[in-house]
Amino acid sequence: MSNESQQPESLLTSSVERLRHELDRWLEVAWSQGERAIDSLGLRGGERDWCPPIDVRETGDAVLVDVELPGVQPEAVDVTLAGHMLTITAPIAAAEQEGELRRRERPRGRFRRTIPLPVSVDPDKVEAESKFGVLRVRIGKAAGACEKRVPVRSSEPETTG
Amino acid sequence: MSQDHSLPTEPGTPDDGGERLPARTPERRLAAPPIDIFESDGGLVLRADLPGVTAEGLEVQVQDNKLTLFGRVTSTVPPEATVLHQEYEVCDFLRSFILSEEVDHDRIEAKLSGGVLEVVLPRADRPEPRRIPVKVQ
Repeated sequence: MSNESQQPESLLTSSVERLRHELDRWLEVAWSQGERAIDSLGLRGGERDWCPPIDVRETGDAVLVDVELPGVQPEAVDVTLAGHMLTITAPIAAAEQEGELRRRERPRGRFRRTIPLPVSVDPDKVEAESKFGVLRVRIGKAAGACEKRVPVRSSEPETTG
Repeated sequence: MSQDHSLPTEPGTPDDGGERLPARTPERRLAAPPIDIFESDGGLVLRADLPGVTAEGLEVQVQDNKLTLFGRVTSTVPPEATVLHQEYEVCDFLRSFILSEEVDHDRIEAKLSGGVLEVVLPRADRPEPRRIPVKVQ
């Protein structure tokens, strides 16, 4: 009874704290699992129907992103790089049906994935190649991006005389 | 679709392929590829997703009435590359089907394009019912 006056404040603090913890947890899941988490939580709209698996690897001078896209025409794949976010979009051709469908297991529809790249990359060094149903996007790392020197100019007017 | 006897059915154990398949190293993971089956008047068309499988690494085999698909994936990853994020492993594909009598085994055709295998299973011509005269002795 003696600490009754402190009760509302501590209640408020603890609930704010709980909310903050909950948010942190969600953020952590989103951060560590990225697109997959958004997909598994069902937070995405109906803009994509399937989620092909991707692998991201790093070599000395490039980042390699491999996406399994069997049966997707290379010209239908759209690869864009904005900053360090790589977005891959592709529709899956639905015109290959002939006859009556008896069994359907292969994924179809359109998909879109955005992959955050872990290092700074050079937007002029992006190559995408599709081979045997696997799309590989090779993004060259930015040369010395972290140690670029910015020269400091003096903007003071020159004194004549 | 289980009532349709013309469709290929899968044997209980998927990994009992014939001995003539390429030697498989035990540590490589095997996955069953997803398939679509279409039926038309001419027969059946089976399509399987085999991303990363080349024509050299693909084995399509018909033994007795069993159709086996085996695809070996050759990794094209440079050895010095380090994995940052991995959602799939390099694994080989294996799946087999029991074909019905209605498939003409000699005319089965297979082609691979862009990681998709298409197997055409033509319908066998049904022999005309033959009347057997009964001799009375």
